Order: sequence, then C-alpha cells, then structure tokens
Amino acid sequence: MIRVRAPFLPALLVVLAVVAALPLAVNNNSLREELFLMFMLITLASSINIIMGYTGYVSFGHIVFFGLGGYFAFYLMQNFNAHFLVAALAGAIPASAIALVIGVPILRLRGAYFALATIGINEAMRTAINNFEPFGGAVGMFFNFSVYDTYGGARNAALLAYGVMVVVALATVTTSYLIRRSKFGLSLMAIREDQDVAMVVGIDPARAKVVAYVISSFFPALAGATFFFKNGIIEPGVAFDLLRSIESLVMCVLGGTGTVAGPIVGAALYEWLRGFLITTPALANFQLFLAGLLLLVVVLFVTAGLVGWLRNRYPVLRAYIQ
Amino acid sequence: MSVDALVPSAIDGLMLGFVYGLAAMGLTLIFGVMRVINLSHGPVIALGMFVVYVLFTGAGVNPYLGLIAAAGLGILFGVAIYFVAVDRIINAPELTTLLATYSVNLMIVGVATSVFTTTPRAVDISLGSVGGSGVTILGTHAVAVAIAIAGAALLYAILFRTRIGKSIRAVANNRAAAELMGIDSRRVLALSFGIGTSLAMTSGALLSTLFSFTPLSGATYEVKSFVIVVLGGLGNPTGALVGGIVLGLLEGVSTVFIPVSWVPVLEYVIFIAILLVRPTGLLGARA
Amino acid sequence: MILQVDAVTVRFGGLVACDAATFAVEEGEILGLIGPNGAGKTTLFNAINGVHRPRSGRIVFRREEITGLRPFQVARRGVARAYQVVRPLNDLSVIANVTVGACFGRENLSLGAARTVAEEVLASLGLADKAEVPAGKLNVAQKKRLELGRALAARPALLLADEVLAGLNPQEVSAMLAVFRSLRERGVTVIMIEHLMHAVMNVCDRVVVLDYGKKIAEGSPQVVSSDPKVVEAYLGDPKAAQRFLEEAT
Repeated sequence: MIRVRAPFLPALLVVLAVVAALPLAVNNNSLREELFLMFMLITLASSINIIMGYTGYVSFGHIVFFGLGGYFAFYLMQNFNAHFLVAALAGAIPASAIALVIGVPILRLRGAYFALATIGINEAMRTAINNFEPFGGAVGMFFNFSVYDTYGGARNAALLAYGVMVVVALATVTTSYLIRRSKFGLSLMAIREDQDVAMVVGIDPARAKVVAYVISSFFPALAGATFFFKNGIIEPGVAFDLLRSIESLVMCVLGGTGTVAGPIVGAALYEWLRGFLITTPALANFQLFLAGLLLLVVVLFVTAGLVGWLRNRYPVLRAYIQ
Repeated sequence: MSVDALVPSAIDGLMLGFVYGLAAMGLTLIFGVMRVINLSHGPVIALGMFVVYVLFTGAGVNPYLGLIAAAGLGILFGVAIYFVAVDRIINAPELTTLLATYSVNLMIVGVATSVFTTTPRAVDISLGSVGGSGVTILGTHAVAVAIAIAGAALLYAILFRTRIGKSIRAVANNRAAAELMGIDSRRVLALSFGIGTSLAMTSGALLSTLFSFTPLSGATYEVKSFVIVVLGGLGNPTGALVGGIVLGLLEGVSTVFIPVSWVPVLEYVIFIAILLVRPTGLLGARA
Repeated sequence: MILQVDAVTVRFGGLVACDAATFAVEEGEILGLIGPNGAGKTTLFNAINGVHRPRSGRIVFRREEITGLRPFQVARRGVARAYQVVRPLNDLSVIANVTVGACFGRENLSLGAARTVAEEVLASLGLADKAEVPAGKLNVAQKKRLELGRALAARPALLLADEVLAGLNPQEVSAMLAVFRSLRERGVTVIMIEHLMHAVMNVCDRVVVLDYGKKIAEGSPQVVSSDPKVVEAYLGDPKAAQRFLEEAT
C-alpha cells in the first residue's frame, strides 16, 4: 500500500543472491546443502504467506502441492527421459490445475473448516498415491544414476538443482512482493479483514481467493520437482509430510505473516535453530521440545512475528521493510 | 477376504469404533466449548498409552487401574495445557490457537521420543476370548467397549446432571452471557480442556491394551478423531460417539471389499466430502 | 429516475422483513428512509445491494434490472454502502481502507489513481492526519467518517447510508450533515436511513416511511411528519414516538 520509498525488493534480492553465491565462492558443499534446504523453505513459507498472510486462509496441508509437483516431474523424468527443467514446469502446471479444481469448493469454507479440509486433502492424496502403482505405490520411485548423465553427472545435477532452487525462491519472493503492492493484493487483504465488506465494495472474493490459491500452489510444486530431482528418490511419506507443512506455517508466523520479509526471516531463523539444536549434543534429543517452546513463546508474546514486531515498534522501518 | 468375513470384521470395527469415539469426544468437547481445534490431541492419546505402559512394566500395575490413573492425570494435564498455552490467546483468531496447541504437540512428542525412543512398545495383557462358530470376541476388546461406554456415560452425567456441567454448557453456548450470570469462564474453560484431555488419554490407555505403540502413534488416532468429529458435527459429543462407531464399522466392513491400504483414502474422501456438503456434520454441530 | 424499487418482498423463513415495498428515487435527491425499529429498512438496503435476494419484485438501477445480482456486481454499477455498525478493515491503514473503496467500485481505478482519490476523500472528512494509522485504532466518530469515506471514494452514483449519524455528538452530526449537503451539490443520489428526525428534516428532499416492511407514507419531510399514519406507526414504540414528535416540530 505504501508508495515505494525505498528499493526494498532489489535490496532483498541482492542479499539473497549474495547468500546463495557464498557456498559456490568458498566451494563448501555442506553449506550449499544447508542453503538448498533454506531456499526451499523460503519458497514454501513465502507461498503459504500469499494465501494465509495476505488472504487470511490457513492452508495447513499446503505441502500437497510440493508433493504433487515432485511426483509429476519425477514421473516425467523417469518414464519419458524429460529434461529436468521441462519436467519441473510440466509438473508444476498440473499441480496448480489441481489447486484450481480443489480451490473452488474448499475456499468457500471459512476458518477452521478450511484448515481441516486442507489437511484432509493432503492426507487423501498421500494415501491415494500410496496405492497408485504408476507412481510406485508405497515404495515410491527412484532414479537410475544414468539419469544424471544428461546433466554431466550427479555432482553437476546437484549444482543445477541448487541454482534452480535459488531462482524459484527469488521468483516466489518477487511474486509475493508484487502481489502485496498491487491492487490484487489489496483485494486479498480486504477479504482477509472482512469478506462481506470486500464484496460490497466491488471485490469478487471467490475469484480473488482462487487466484491467490493457485499462485501459492505453483512455487511449492516447482520446489518439490527440484527437491526430488536432486534427491533421486520420491515416496509418499516424504512428499506429503504434514509436519513439513506445519513447519512452513511456523516459519511464516515466526517472521511475521502478511509481510514480504517475514517468511524469509522465519525460514532462515528456524533452519538455523534446528541446525544448532541437532549439532549440540546436550540438546539433540530435545530438539522438538525446544522448537515447540520457541513457537509457543512467539505465538503468545510476539503475535505479529519478528518483522511485524519491528514494524510496529519502529514505524520508521515501515518504509524500508515490507 | 470374503463376505463370510463380513460379520467378524464388522464386530471388530464396531468395537474399535467405541474407543475412537471416546477420543473424538474429547476433541469435540474442547472445540464445542472454546472453538479451539486441539492439535495436541494425538500426543495426548499417546501419553495415555505410556501412562499405562510405565505403570504396568515398572510397577506391575494392572492396565485397567493404570487407565484410571491416566484419566486422572489427563484432567490435571489438560488444565495445565490450558493455562500455559491457550488461556492468553483464547480470543485470538483460529491460526493462533492452532499453532499454540501444535507447539504443545511438538513439546510432548519431543520429550516422549527422547525418553521412550520410537521403538514399538506393547502392554502384554490377555483376557481370553469368548464365542465360536467363526465369531470370536477378545476379552480385551469387550472390556474396551465397556469402558468406552462408561466413559461416555460419565461425560453425559457430568454435562447434564451436575452444576459444573451446566456451567460448561452455558459457557459453550454464550461465554459473555455466562460471565454475566456470574460464571467464572476461565475456570470452566480450563476444566473443559482437562476433561477433553482426560477423554483422549483414557482412549489412549484403552488402545494400549489392543495394539503396540510408539510416542508417534497418537498422530494416526488424531486424524481419525478429526474425521469422526466432522462426521458427527464439530462440537457435538453425541455425534462424536456415533461418528466413532460409524468410522469403526466402515473400517471393519470396507476391508472385506477393498484392500486395507485403500481404507484411509476412503476415510479422507468422506471427510472432505462432509466438510464440503454438510460442514455441520451428519448430526449437526453442537448438541 | 435513478432507482426504482418495485414491489420488493424479502422473507426470512416465516418473517416478512420487506413486504411489497415500492418507491422511486430521483437523480440527485437525498431520500430519507425512516420507520420504527424492525421496519425493514436495513433489509431493504440489503436487497438493493445484493446481500439478500428478494423473494419477489424488481429493482431497477439506471434502467438496468439489478435484482438478484451479487453485491460486488451491484457495487461495480455505482452503488456504495456505509454500514450502520462500522466495519473498518482493522489491520489496514486508514488510507488503505479508503483506497479499497476507490479501487474496486464503479471507477475501477488503478492503485495510484485510487490513492489520490482516497487522499482527497480523507482531506474532505478531516482524516488526512490519520492516513497511516491502522483503522482499528480510530475512535468511534473517526470510524464512522472512515465508513462513509470508503463508500464515497467509490464515487458512487447512489449512496446507501445506514444510520451514519448514530452515536455522534451534535458537533459531529452537523459536520456530517455538511458532508451530505456537499454530496447533493456534486449530484450524488443518497438514500439515508436515519433515526435523528431533525437531521432528516434538515437535509432530505423527500421521505419514505416503512412500517412492518410496508411503505406507509411518502412525501416531503414536513408532510410526512404530520401524517397521522406515521405518528401512529411510531406510537408502537413510545420512546421513538416522543422523540419523533419533539424533533419534527
């Protein structure tokens, strides 16, 4: 809403690009692996933010699009030798088409009912694919190593996957920013605040919500395609992992829902914290406990999330941090 | 499986249904009274299992005595969860309470997995069996049904025959009005959370006598509870019991006609369909 | 004639909230819609802007039938609404609230143009200094002005104003009345539901009186206020009748 007074988006993209280049510059593979995961989480959290933060619809089972994109792309690569880049796009498009089909009915539900329905859809999809033999059923699918030959071996394939994941994350963040600053974004936020009022001022809520849902499904589908391409294996439990879904919600809330920077800050912080907990022997076993405690503290005391809190505490920052 | 298996499968399913229903009553009670979807429901069910397990293996306590301990601890634990995680945000939007109870979920699972690991455990108990001519009923199943019915009856007695129950129903109906009538709504909400948690733990205690389990087992039953609660109408305890029986029967009977691995697909499809077509549940929301 | 309400009936189960209500609104006039509580005034607004679908009857806006259109379709044809109970979009800034009105209504403006309109509207309502404040933080009188501002920003051809004066102090009321007079100068047609009779006498060109969902009188404020049927209707509600008689004279 606020007119551009600071080059927020370019600055943000530059920071992310510099971080992304870091492991390549110092040739550190384990750092690259960590950042691969972080950019994936930024994609997931920023996508959820579009439907949850801007529109006010809590999509608990959003990971379903990550899984679908992963499965479609994997299937194309394994059975038709499709190039990864082609397969990723060709996998994400049907995933978003499914979002369109299920979005129309379930976005009529409000509040808790919508949240429950999204959980149901993810679980239905997971258990159905468990039985779907073309996708390998409960065992899933895995690549022959020869698949990676097209890309110059597994090492180069991993590099390609990393590059694509970074680009997907940057595209998600850019889209999130553009939506927030657009008329469309304003209509989403009006729906979030009061759907009846939105309708009376001339917004068609049903349409706006479905468009937001479809957009927010596209990037997780791309991320899923990329993740499982690099992984070489895909199975239902990993592809449709409800825990990962809820974790991306947590990241959103941690950083601040409804802001562009919030999900990024939340994803980075959450991943850093998890890494810290796992590698500290005394805390390794209590990893989940501490993650829960942290979440509770944020939910109870920092409702707006870190970015939201900063923006409220120092209104000057509103012009600089979106 | 053949159609000959229909009757025994139906009976097995029906019996499990009562136990599912008991857990779902806990979830639906909490939603009905305070509009909170309790995402710590699953781990709480698992806790019920482990209370029985620890007492049984550690001190040789009979599992059914352990069950009473689990029910009592459930009340205390539920009240504690309410004051730590829910009280402060009781009027906040849904996402907030979902995340707060989910954080409790993470904490319980975190502690339980580091204490008990994820090795499957079992409470070894046998009460023989009765029957013949193709239909056999295990003693543990029969007792589980009896206890589940007793638990449901107790909940009804509390809700409809006591002062406390009256205030719970008043707060569920209209919290602001109940407060004007002099009801301390915080205490009522905390107690309702306690009763809901106790029902979940009792159900977990029963399940521990039937199947093996890990700290993560609660998740399966949590999702079943969601399906049941939506079947029976969010916030409607009678609906939850009926929904539990329907789901149990469905699980039992459907295995005769479709492979076991398709049963959950069927459950989730029904779940989504009911949400879309009749979100108040088959029996209507909130009795 | 900008709006024609023709035998519109709205039912909720067995209750007839609006019973064959018929009246017309001329271009540029300010029409008062009055009647005791429960007379069906707000229901009639809901029928006009598409929130409730009438059981029977026709609503014609600018020679086009709009009966049964969805609220956003009616809004896009130039009908704006200010609610009786204010409904600000709490977490959005004051200027964003008004921009929403300008963006999606009749004019379908771009974000930038809508913001310019919103700034003008806020200035005219004396809310310019609150532009960046979250709407939820305004006081009641400011929220009332914001509610009107959101409707006005759409530059409507027809404004449905539902008790926008209720709960305001006398100074605030006369400030609002000035706003309505300026609307008339700009040629905006207004239907206002109002209980403050002196306000109605002051700004309305014509008055329609509803009772139990039926139109029982229509005419200039002076004529209507001396109509025995109207006084009788208000007598069912002694307090309102007393107020009505005091304020009308």
